[in-house]
Amino acid sequence: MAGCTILDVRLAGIAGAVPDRVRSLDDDVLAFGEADALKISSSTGVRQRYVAPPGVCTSDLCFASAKRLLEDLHWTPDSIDVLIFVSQTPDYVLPATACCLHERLGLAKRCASFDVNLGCSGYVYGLWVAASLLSAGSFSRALLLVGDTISRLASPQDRSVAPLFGDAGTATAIERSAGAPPMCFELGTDGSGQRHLIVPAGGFRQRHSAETAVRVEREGGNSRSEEDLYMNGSAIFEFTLREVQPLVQSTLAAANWQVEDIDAFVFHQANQFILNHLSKRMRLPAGKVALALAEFGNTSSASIPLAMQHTLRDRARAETLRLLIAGFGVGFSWGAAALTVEKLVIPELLKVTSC
Amino acid sequence: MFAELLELEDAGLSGNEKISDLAGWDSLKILLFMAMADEQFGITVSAVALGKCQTVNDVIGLLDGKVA
Repeated sequence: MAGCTILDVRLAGIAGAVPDRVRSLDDDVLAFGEADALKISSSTGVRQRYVAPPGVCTSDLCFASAKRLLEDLHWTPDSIDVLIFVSQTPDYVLPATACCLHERLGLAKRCASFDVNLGCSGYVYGLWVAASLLSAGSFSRALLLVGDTISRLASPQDRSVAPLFGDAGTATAIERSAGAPPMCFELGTDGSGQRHLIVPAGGFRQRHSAETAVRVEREGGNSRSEEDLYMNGSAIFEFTLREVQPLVQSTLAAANWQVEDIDAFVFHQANQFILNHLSKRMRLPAGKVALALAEFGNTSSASIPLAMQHTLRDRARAETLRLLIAGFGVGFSWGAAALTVEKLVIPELLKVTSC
Repeated sequence: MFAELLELEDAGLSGNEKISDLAGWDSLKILLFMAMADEQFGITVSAVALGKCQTVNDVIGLLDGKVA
């Protein structure tokens, strides 16, 4: 596992936005029947989630977050040196969505902008890339825009994914700051897990066609096409059982922290069953593990910053907090960071109306 | 233990039952089984091996003889 410690870089603020359309447990009861819907919800912990209607993209949610965050921080658009967009639901095959967001946000021409294609681990990877670039010395400020509209990839007739995923877009402001507390990162990959969480068609390995769009019945009476999201829940659970505890332990060790030193553990909000099991296994105090599944579901790459905003907003605005964040999933890819955050700027949750 | 997991009344499972015939054995129960194996026996059950199981005995066999 790769590890690194980054000095002289601080988090300045976090903002999050969701679409204003809600899908609730009542909608799942209608789609899958009361018994199944309640059984799934009691395992996943999801009571509702925000879902993007056609026409609302990840970039729209990230744009709203970024705009508000820059205003609240009093950062002018031309002070941004790097824009990183992390998502698996970009606007286009090309150009990079970072370029579209660069125009909408009115950033300077000298601002470096690029996309990173990762999901559950994407926030940690994005933070690591942004912090590494800033610590290298030539840039001062970075905007990390992270989010997904995974609900748009879930077949409404597939109970293994439809009741779980919600949509969100976030913005994180990061800047060089001499003397800022160290950030410790640990990252890893197991590419043999690539087939367990996948949208098989629509890329270049298997192009979109009339055939790939046809939904057919699969295991457990679920129906999906080759262009819909497939998730092998048991293979993913096995992977989290193997990798997450060593990831958390090595990150704590790198920071020279104990479990007791941490104010909050913010994990990728995979589902409540997995988070509860991992927390119990690692003997983490229940009150210190952030949970945001009931309101948002699993929001893929956005879930860590969204959970930080949802569960830590008041404290993080007022205090200095030691956080352990960890993302793990699609790839398989994982990353964790030990962070000390001081008085973050965090606007309230934004809701984006479709036009 | 297996009956408990499936919320079957002490069903007197012989072990030869096909898991596909058991009403309670679904994807959520598979996760519960994996969690229980991890928590109680410290065994990370292979999802691939679990997927290949035909009978109740096959599933119990994944626990390395730690349960009767």
